[in-house]
Amino acid sequence: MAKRFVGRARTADPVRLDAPRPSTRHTVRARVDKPDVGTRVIRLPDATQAIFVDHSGRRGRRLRWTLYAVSLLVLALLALLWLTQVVEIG
Amino acid sequence: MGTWRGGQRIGDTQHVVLPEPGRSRFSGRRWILAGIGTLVLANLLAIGAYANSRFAPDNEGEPGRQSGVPAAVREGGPVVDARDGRAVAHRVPDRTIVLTFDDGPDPLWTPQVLDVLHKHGVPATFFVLGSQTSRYPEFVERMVREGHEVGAHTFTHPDLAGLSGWRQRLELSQTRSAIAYAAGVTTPLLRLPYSSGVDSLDDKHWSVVRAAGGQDMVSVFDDTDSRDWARPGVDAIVRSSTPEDGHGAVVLMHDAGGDRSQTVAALDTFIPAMRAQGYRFTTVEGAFGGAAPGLAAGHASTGDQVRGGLLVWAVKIADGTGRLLWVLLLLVGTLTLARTLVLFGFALRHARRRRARTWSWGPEVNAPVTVIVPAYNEVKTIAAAVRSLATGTHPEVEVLVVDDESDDGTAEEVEALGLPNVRVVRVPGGGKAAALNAGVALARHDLLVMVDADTVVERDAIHRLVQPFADPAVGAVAGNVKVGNRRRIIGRWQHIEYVIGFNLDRRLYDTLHCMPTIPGALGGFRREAVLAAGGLSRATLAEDTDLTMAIHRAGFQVVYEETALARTEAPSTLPELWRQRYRWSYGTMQAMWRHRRALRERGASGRFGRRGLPFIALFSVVLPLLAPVLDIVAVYGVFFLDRVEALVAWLAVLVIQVITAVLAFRLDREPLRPLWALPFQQLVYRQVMYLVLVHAAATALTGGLLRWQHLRRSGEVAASAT
Repeated sequence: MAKRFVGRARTADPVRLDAPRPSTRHTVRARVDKPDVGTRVIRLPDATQAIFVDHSGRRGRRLRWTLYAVSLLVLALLALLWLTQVVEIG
Repeated sequence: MGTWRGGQRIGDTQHVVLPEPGRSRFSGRRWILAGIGTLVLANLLAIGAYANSRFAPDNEGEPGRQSGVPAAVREGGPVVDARDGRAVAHRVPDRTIVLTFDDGPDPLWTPQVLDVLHKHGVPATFFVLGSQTSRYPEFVERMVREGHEVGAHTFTHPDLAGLSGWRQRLELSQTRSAIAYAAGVTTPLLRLPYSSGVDSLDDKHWSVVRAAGGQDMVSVFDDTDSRDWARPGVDAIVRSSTPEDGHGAVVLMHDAGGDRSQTVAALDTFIPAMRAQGYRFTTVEGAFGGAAPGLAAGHASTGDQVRGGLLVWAVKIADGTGRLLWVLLLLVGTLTLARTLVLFGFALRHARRRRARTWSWGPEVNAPVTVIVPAYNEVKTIAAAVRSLATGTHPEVEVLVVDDESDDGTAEEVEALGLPNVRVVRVPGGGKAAALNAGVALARHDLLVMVDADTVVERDAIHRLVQPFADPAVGAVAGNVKVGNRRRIIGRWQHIEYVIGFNLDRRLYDTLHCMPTIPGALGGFRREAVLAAGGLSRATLAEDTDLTMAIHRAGFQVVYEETALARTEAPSTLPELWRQRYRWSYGTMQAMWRHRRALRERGASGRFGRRGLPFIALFSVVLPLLAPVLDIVAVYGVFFLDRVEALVAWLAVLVIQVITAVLAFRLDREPLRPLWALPFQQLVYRQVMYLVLVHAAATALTGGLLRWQHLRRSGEVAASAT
């Protein structure tokens, strides 16, 4: 499969190869009317959207790893503290 | 109908497809993290207790046998050098004063002592405590910077003779480490706690001196004791400190351990007076350095400083944790007491008002009522629930059972009853909120009552529940729900909690016009109020709390009718109780967050937001979240404080709860017998309740997903009703 560049990265994405996007380099650009803001459909807030829930899981992951790191650090310091006391009197 | 994944039915028709929950890898680690948190807290409390001398044995009596102490030491000078197997005592040269200060540093008195010494240009030797050095290292650093000498006075000020060898070594090494961190120096000087002149050295303390010599330390006693600890007055301190006949002396004073204003004043008099008699002032090393080499402070190694740093910060953090715990305890105690008093006052007033002969909601309400019963797989309980609703005393009741795609024959069970005023509608499964919304839409009447399918109501409950609607301002009414299955201890505990925690609280909330929840088990609504609130939302897991808050914000009154009684089936196992309360706690937090804008809105919404939400947040979330402090301090008290006092404090809290419980039971006309389970409730149930809340708060914080969980019904309440 031939390599292509996407941006600066080499890629072998078959989708991009099989269905390349039409180039707009030589096409004539026409003026398109802007959408009528006044009559645009209003997007109501989703009343059934569960509160607090982070479907991406990113928030939980960050908190968890922060907690792990802090726990590890505290445990290490605590172990070091006890170790230095034991070594001194041993 | 339903939502299918991988050939299996995973939810109802309106089920929102979410990621497969599975068993999170985090769920096991959560307990490990909780264990680590407990371990760290236990360590900090133990370090704090140690640094505060909780372990220190009672001190001194008369000197013991002295036959083992060499005469050369007993009759020698105040500096006893037992290093390298020696036993040498050195005297202070004539007309020489070595000022020594014990027990510091102290943030109030040490700087004043240092200022006086600086004013007169006099060096001194400070025998510091390791624990105090850890707390105030900056003063030890100042001592060294200003040319004074620092010696060790142990870490926690115990009588070393009463300690085992390893504890003695620990006391000395920890103090030297703390000094190393604070001032960057090592010291070979030691003063034993509770020591005085070398002539009173007995066999036990002589062994301590020799052991200290083994650690390369020289013990320093005194020639004159200022007795400033007794605060005998400035002149007496000066008199006691002054050596006789021009002899030299190591003078014992204190820069901590109480009010040292007399010491400071005496010092200011003593120094010029002794100088006038031709005395010079120096340090221990200055006076004895020639006779006993190696008394000068050395430069502390990096290892010593790191060890000292760990110790100093451990003590600082432990002290901070201890202070925080006491502040929180004070806060919890004050809030609990205030809440109890307010609860007593308002609940009694509420009960008196309602029981007065003149009390009335207005003209009797006989308007027709639709009772909506959402049901999902409730075959064990539905028949008793529907029968109790359909055969009540209210003139016209339509019971509308909304079957939420049950697959256990719930709908058929209701139809088989053949009651004329009962209607069953089957809706595509969408959860309780959707079923209730369908019920509201399909109800034939404007007065609505929502009842859980596991709840059995009294015959007159519906009639009594709708009486407050005589007042057109009332939009919703909370009924009085009791636990029906009380045979097991867990049921009894919940019964006590329902009577105290819910029903007594409701009287208070009713008086303050900020009722947070109309119970799903029995609640009356004006249809117009439900519609104004936007119906029941699926955004939270406590749809009853959410609806109640929305009704408040829509400008309707929400009241409590304590005579409308219902018995519900409470969870009968601890895991089920955990799941139920986990959902309630999480749902309440969701509802509060959803309605947070009420805090800054105007009108009825703002009134509820500013009066009700902070009250609910404080007493339903913050106070229960802080409740573990009570148990932590109780455990701490048992191990590190006076056990009797700790037990008395715990019993005092229990007495307050018993009084509250008795009041609540009396107001609810309940027999007091189940209250025998109250003390045991304090040992298991209360802890489970706050752990659940902590769990729910953690889930909210991490953005975790919590679903509706169907409780297993025993049918005990239904069986007792038939």
